[in-house]
Amino acid sequence: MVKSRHWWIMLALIGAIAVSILASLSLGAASLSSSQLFGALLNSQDPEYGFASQIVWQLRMPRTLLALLAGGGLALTGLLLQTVTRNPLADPYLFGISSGASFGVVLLLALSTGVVSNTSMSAAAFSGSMLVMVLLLVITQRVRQQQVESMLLAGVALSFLFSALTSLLLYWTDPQAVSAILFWMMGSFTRAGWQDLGLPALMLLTSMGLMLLYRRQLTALLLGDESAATLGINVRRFRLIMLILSSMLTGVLVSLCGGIGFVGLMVPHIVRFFVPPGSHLSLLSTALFGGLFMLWVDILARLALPNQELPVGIVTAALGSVFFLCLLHLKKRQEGI
Amino acid sequence: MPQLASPNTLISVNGLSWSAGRQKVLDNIGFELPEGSFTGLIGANGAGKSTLLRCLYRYLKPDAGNIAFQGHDIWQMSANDYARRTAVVLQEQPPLFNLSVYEVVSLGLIPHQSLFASTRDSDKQGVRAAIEQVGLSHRCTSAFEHLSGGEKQRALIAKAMVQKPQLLMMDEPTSHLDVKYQIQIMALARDLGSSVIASFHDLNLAIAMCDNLLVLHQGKLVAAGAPADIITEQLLSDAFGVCTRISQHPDHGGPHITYYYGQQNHQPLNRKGQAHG
Repeated sequence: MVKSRHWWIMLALIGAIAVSILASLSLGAASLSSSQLFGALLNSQDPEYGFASQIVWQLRMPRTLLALLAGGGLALTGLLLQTVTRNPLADPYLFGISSGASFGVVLLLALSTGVVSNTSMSAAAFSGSMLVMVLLLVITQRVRQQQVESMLLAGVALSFLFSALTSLLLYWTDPQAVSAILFWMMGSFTRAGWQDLGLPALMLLTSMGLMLLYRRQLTALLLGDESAATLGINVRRFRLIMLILSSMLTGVLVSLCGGIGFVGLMVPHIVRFFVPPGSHLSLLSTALFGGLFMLWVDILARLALPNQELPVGIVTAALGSVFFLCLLHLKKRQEGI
Repeated sequence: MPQLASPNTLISVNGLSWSAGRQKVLDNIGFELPEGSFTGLIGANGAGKSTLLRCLYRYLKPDAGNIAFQGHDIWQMSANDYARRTAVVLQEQPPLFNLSVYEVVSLGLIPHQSLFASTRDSDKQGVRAAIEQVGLSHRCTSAFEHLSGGEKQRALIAKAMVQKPQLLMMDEPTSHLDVKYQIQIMALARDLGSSVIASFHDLNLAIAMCDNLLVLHQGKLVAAGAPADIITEQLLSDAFGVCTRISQHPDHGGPHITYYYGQQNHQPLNRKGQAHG
């Protein structure tokens, strides 16, 4: 049941995101004062704010928005996959999406001779992740019973296969490519530009819309395939559609920001502590909290070391696991276990 | 083929067969379920009870034969149409991620709701009424996982009630439950006002609750009819491999089974008259 308390959580999240966006726009290698920030935001044409407005509009705004989209998208896909596979350990990369993306990038780096553009890296990553998804669908298409189990096993197998292929290619390519791919795999928003935002925004909104429409069916899947089928749901088809949807969203995000772990796994669990699952509020809160979390991870990644940036994947994992362990401890104390 | 006498047939099954690989699990089954009846499905482990139910609730497609619901082949109906007419209570209980009792019960609304509709107040009242009817009002916001076995089963029956089915199907609804809850669950199912078909392990409970019994043995329907007409020592010996004595139950007047707690053909132990189950 949705209570007013849960609406307050949502409002608090939206407020926190608004404040965090401002923080993300002003903090970084060159810190902006609040007057500079608001001047740049409101009077971007004013020559007095020329430098600040360039930083805000050209560098930090697209990056901030991409962090929000990536956080929200990964959290939402994590929730979706945990639900349709009924597996609390499912995350967006469960079916080898990120191994496929890495493989695509490494293959591109190994084959190309000149400088590789960001766009072609993204395209290669996306093609790699889609290749894995198509293979997974082909493998599990014939399975009639126990679809989840075969998908999970096939996903793990594909993930290992593509990791092996990636390692093999890396073994043969030059060390420069190895460090490039390593940085890429740990995730970063540095490459963000306005032109990168449309596709993930579209995918995120589509996924969110479909998940909201089908929220009851998604909840019903938690009861088990058989029970869900007796409620009139075509479980196989429904799960496939949801899987394709989440893979596309993950594929787009991986291709733009690299493999950012942990958010998709943990954010849905964290939100479940506060908002009961199954409601539209839990879906929205999961996306919002994912975005908020990623925003601060990116801010920390910028500020942690002077004159250089940490890969966000390191920050998400370090911050997220400590945060989650604290929450687990508090929750247990609360329940008196 | 044994037929149950009935003016209004809800479900009719003809020549139903289903195989897992080479093994025939259901072999040429045929029967009819009269509207408003309470039918028990009994048989030894592996006799095909769950498989037959799975065919009835459209989870398994038969290899041969057909199942008709009020004259319509159930595989010609849409899944949603069928879900509006039938509800199923299963044993399956995977981890539910802290889903509350209220959320689980309101899943029963799904077949009746369109995608874009938000939940109406009358629907919410229906969900609350069902939860109250199974006596779980005080657990409404509790996590489903934290309920006891009997409470879980009652919550799932409440979900089925919300579905407003013409036919309720239950797969061993009373296994693992205390005697008190076994009786309670059955009384709830009876009061639902739908026709019911349920599989049973406890034969005396099945006899006491059901108007009709279907007896499966190795995938074949070996007997069908009112308990008083079909339950014989010979049948129980054939279908279950147990040695029994049938007497008349002092309350409901139907057959009452007393088991010999030794192996068949051995000297019966002197435990006559002791109630079982």
